[in-house]
Amino acid sequence: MTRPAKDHQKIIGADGETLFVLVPAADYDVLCRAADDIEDLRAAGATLALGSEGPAPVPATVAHRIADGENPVRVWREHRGLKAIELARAAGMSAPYLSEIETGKKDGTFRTMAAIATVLGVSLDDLAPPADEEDRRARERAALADGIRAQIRKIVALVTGPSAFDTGAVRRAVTTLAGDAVALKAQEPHAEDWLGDILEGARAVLDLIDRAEGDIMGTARQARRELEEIVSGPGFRFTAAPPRVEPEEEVYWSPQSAAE
Amino acid sequence: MQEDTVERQGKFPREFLGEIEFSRAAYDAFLTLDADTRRLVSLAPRAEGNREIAPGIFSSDVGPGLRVVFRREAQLASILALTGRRTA
Repeated sequence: MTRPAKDHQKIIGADGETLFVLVPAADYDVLCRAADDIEDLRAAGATLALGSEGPAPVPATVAHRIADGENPVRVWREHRGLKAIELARAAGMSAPYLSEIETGKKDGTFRTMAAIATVLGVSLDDLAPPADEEDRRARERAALADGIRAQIRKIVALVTGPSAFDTGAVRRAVTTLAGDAVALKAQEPHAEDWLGDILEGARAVLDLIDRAEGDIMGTARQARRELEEIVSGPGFRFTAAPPRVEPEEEVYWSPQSAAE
Repeated sequence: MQEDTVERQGKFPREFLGEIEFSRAAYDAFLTLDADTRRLVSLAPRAEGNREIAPGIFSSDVGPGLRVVFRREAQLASILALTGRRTA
């Protein structure tokens, strides 16, 4: 991985604190990628740390069939190579009852499902059917809408809150907001009106931030030009032998001299 | 219908699935994804352009806000985690 250079231009606040760092887009990408890698390594490490004591991995064939809506009991039974009658016997139930569970006509009792899970060598949770596609989409839409609301609250707090105005934080929040709004718009075409308004607002905020940051950069450049003029003027000319300043006669304060 | 089309086009060869397994964390996140994204997740270990983030551990972008982190051992790819904004 290429390490970003460290000599980026900085914009320093009145108290000497660095407010902004101007980073080339390529370096910004490297930094984002590094942050992603750290997150990925943490997630991988959490799984690997469980080792063989953690839950058994799920074969992709099983995962896809269950995610596609097939009954988990049937999927796991077939994955274990068991016939329905074999599983029913081992779990102490009738084959027709197992068939009704596998076809979704009946929900097994806790005891029945626990017995099936034991025979199949899976947890009880593994046998619960996942939410269907529409539920998933609804949850994804709800999560996106929650994300949009949260970002709006964050942006309002950043703009109107008591802390110093941070254009970088606002830009990040607006970019996330716009990303969620675009994703939600793709899923919910009938919500175009309010999402369109949000996207328009996001564009307006980004335009303003661009302008504000441009002004800051312009001001910084102008200040630098003026500073260059000042430091190259006569007031900053180096003289080899500075004029000698004779020390003045020292005067001591005393109540008497003060009275005089 | 869509799955049929995808399979006939050879974009999602089911025989590859025998070479892939999911950690429990990855499986739980996998179940929350839509069908198209699930296909992309399973294709990730075979996709080009995966980045090796640690010896034998790879990360693959499978769409906005979603990455697949996996480990390759011989013919088996273990999907260790799904990361990114979409899994939050």
